[in-house]
Amino acid sequence: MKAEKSEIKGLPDRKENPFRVPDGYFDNLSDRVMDRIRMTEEQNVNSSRKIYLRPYLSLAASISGLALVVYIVMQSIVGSRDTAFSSLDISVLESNGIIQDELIVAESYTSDDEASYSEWEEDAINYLASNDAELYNLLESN
Amino acid sequence: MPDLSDKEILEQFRDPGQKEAAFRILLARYQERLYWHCRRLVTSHDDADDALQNTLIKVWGNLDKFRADSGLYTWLFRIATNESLTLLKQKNKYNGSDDREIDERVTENLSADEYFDGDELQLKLQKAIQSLPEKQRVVFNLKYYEEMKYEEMSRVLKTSEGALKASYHHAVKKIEKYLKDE
Repeated sequence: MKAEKSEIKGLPDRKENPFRVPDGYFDNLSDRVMDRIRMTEEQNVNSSRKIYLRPYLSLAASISGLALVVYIVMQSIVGSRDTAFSSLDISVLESNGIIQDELIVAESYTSDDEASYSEWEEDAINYLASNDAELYNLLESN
Repeated sequence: MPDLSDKEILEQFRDPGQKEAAFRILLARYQERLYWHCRRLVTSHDDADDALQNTLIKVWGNLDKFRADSGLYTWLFRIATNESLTLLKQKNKYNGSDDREIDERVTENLSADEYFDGDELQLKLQKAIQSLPEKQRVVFNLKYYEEMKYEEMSRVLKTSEGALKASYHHAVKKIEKYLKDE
């Protein structure tokens, strides 16, 4: 940079540039600038991809979380309902005489009434055979 | 360098096939003036290099939107000024920004700067310039070193010519006083 005339009191008439640059600085400046521009553009593309995908990733995570919560809640509701239905079903069936427990069947078997014994015998043995092999064996041994 | 006008460089830049070539022509034309403008504001070569590269990255990103209402050169200087001042503000934020601290830092930086060849008087002048308020410092550099006309400077800094003249006058008085007193 050439020296120019100064107009300020206390300074020499010639303006001097006291600064220097490293040798060849301006020769390869455009290459370095272009390299940095490419790097910056790559970073911008990557970050804009992340920004573009971020709402979708958040949505997917939210849906997964919601689905998990719904699944857990449904499992607990269905599970308790099954248990309630099971106990309800059994008590209803028992109260209506649709099923009989093993004790009633055994009592029927020990009845003195020979006629009813013979009548019940086959049914009771069949029932027990289909429900409890051990009791069946016990009866057989008796 | 092809002898293209700024307008022709802009037209080429908007063509994707010629974008980089046009930008390189623009760099070759303005890089030195922009560098020296940055350098006088920030004083160290490394900071000037940073400010200049930030400037040129912004130019690359916005040149296709530039409307040639104001001159390209004016627009480039405005970006370079903003980038240099932003860099200085970031540095002052960490290093302190009162007059004594700035004075000490400028002396220290310039004395240690292998790319500063100034004598005692030049060092004093740089310290005086750095002690000016931001606006006066920019106006002083553009007028004193760049010899930019007030009309053009008014477009760069978006300030009235009258205010710029007053700023330069105050800056010169402060520098003269600084040189006399030191």
